[in-house]
Amino acid sequence: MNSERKHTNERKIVCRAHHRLRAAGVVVHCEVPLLGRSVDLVMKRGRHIITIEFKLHDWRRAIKQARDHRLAADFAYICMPRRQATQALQDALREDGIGLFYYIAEGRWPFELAVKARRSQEIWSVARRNLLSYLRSTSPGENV
Amino acid sequence: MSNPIAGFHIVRYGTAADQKFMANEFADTYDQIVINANMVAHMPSALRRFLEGTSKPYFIDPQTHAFQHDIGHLQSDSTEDIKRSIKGLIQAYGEPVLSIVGKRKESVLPDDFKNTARRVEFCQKVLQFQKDTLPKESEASDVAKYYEFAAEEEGTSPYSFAPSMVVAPYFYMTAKTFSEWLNINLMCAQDSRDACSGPLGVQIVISRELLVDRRMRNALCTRYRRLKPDCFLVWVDGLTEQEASEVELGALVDLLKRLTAEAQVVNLYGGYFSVALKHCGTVPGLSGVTHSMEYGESRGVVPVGGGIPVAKYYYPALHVRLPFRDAVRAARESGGFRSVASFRERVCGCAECVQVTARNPEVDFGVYGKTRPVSFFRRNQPIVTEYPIQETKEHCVRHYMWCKSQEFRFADCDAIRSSLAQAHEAFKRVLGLETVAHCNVWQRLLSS
Repeated sequence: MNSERKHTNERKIVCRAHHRLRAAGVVVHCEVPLLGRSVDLVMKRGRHIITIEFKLHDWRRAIKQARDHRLAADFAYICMPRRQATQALQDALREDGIGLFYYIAEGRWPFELAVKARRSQEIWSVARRNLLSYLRSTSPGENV
Repeated sequence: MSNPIAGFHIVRYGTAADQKFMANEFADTYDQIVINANMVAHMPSALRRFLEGTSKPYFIDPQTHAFQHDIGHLQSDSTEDIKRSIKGLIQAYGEPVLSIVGKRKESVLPDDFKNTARRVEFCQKVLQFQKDTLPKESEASDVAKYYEFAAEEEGTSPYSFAPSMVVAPYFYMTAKTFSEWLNINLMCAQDSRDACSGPLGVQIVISRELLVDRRMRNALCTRYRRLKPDCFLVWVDGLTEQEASEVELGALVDLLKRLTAEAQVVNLYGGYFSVALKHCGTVPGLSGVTHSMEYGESRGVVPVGGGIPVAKYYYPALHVRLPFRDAVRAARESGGFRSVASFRERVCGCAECVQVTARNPEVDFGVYGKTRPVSFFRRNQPIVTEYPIQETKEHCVRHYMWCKSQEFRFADCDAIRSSLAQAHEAFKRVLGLETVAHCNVWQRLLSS
């Protein structure tokens, strides 16, 4: 699969997940800038902020990005199509405290929880404040 | 004959925005300026004014390699016409680039320089451009006349607009094209020597592949040493000291050592490793290392000129520009966020950091990463990402320049080696081995 098609497919999945989450009443933002990266989805659940990075294949890259999200978010997840999580993937997730969602194409809720994220202990107050400020200044439907 | 290299710390003039730093608060931190010929062709008046302000010696990189690459690298993205600054160089340098690049829109080949008369004329014009362009600009300037008058009054000599040396035309050599360009480069250097009475620089621009090939490196050193120029200017295409392998850096050390036995040598795009080579006596004869304002420690031969990187925080202990998020992690890991004193001791105590992190380092440090969201479309999809604001870039440049000033001055080799080893241990877990591995590689090479 060439990279453009892969990206388009990833983007479609992000948009579908976004729509379904909004339909389920979740406050969710798409394409949120954070420390020089762009986070695919950011959900607010009560006082917690959860980031989700979607990847069809390259889970190492997704984990690298999600690690950076932990500087501002309480919980950071990667989301991939359902698969047998390899030992290497599980080890990497555990080491960095990143969670794993499988994307579910049908139904109201787009995710199946595969690995629970650990709460971030490395939140940097400046990044957190900037993220909250961005979320307040944009409507959840923007950038979709 | 005056020394073509005024000191170890050389700064490359990159863009007009660099002027305010180079001419003002950092003017005393470096020794000499190098300017790309396309900038000279593009804005000679502004450069004249800038040089008047700094009173620094300078030389010009004639960038003749620009004409050997795919012509697309010389064309404007919007009009596909050859860029104005390059057109200026083509006019100034004359044949064969005028016909081949300017008119036929093709790249030059080694064969185009085999005709002796044509090559000699080309060399003369390239040297003439460097010698005359800025002095001529200055003759026409009222400000220069004022400086001349003021110098006369004060009994000092006015600023000379003549470059401290001229640089022979040169072309980029890869392992595949070495045999074809080597003789042309040597002939251009010899013709320039014959045409030039003052100091002459000979620029050696090679690929990494060529650098590490011992046989070719030997041939290169043997042939170039016969030229006996005043200065060798070395540029290894895209060699980033923090990313290069031990083999590549070892080959760089070997090349620099052998060239310094013959003449002064400047690494035209070098980082802290090159600086430490002199401090630690690994290459004691190294005469200069060049960088730009917050970048320019490495450069590919293409694209020719242009390209301004995103602001990053130069992390002093690692001697590398880090994405801001990594700089935050490293600063926190080192304990630098605990107090102002900790930050100065464990992260950075440069003048900029002292000013910026005066109250609460954890929060104040955010100034180096302040961004604004920018929306754009990539592959027909809306993307929002963050770009540093102008203020951020300026903080990062100032911090970088103060760090560089310190690095070029601080020459305790034992301390350099032990701090590299400490940095490797301190940050490998939080930043990953790839980001810190250069510390161990450098340390080994500086110890050998």
